[in-house]
Amino acid sequence: MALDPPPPRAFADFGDGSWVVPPARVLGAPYIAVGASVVLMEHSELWAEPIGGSALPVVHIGDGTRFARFATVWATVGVHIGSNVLTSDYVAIADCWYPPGDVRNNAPGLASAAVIIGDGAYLGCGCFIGPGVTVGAGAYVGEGAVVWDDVPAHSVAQGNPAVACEESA
Amino acid sequence: MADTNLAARLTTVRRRLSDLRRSRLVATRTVHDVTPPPPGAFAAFGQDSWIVPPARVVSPHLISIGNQVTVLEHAWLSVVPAIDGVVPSLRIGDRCSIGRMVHIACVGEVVIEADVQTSDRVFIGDTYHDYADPDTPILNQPMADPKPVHIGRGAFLGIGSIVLQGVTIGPGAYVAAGAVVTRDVPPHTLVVGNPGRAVKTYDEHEGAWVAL
Repeated sequence: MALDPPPPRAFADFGDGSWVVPPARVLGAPYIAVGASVVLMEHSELWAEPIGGSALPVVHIGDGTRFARFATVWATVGVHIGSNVLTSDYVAIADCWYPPGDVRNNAPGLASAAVIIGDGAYLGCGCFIGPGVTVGAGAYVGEGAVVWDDVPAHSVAQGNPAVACEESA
Repeated sequence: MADTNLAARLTTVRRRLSDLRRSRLVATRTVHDVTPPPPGAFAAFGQDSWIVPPARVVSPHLISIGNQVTVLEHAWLSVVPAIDGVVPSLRIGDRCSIGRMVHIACVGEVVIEADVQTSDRVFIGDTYHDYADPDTPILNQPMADPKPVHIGRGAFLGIGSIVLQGVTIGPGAYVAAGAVVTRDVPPHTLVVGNPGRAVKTYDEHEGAWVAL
């Protein structure tokens, strides 16, 4: 069924001890590289569909990263998630403005742009990381934050639209 | 002695049977509640349209679904005749694509025109729980008078966005992820934030999106 995650061999890479908990909607597994000891909890959606010229694979998930339930990742040009990233429930990361595979993602003005999540970052419950955003290493994205601009390393971003509001020493 | 044992065993068996019956009833009801009704139960249900179970569909006879509509799992289409003298209606146009966990709360009128696409976890409501009386739990207060919600042809609603009562969203508008739309959105306009703010619009003369 569509909600059974594909087997490890279907992915571009799938490290030891990693686990995608069913039910999960995984589309484009050949374009998704998963590190070791990664957990993606139930009801997640990973959707990778490269547009012309994208470097493959378009989704990288680093070692030891843990996604909670109901996560959504939409990738067309590149979603690079570092290692040991922790997310809460309902987190969404998109490098595109429309669902992958939609021709409008190539249109000027609302074109796709790669997303980078630094090592050891934390994404709070219900937050959204938009196209072109870089979240620095160890940054804390607050609950419900909607992030359109870069978040510096080791800083806290909150609100909708999110602003970086605190930086640790 | 033997009689007492037998009686005790009979009681246990009877209790187990009744537990089983009760749990089966609950299970049946639960499954029934989240199994989409058949096409014939709807006011209209176009060709090649599909509501993926599990989905909560309340009052399908007041819901019109166009052709080639997809509604992904965990949708909640809640159409409730809650206001005296108002027959609510929800219309979803041709080729609409509705994401997972979408909740449409309708006690008046919600119209989604053709070719609208919504991401996951979108909420569209044409009313709210009234809170005027401080002495009554909001749960027990009536729904506020509905104001119709209209979503124009070819619009896009981003993940987790919320469209509140009385809002008209123009054709081709783009509601960004997490935006809370409290006011009308002109056609081909990008809205972000909470409360939603128009930040870009498509300029037909220039043929490009321009900042507002």
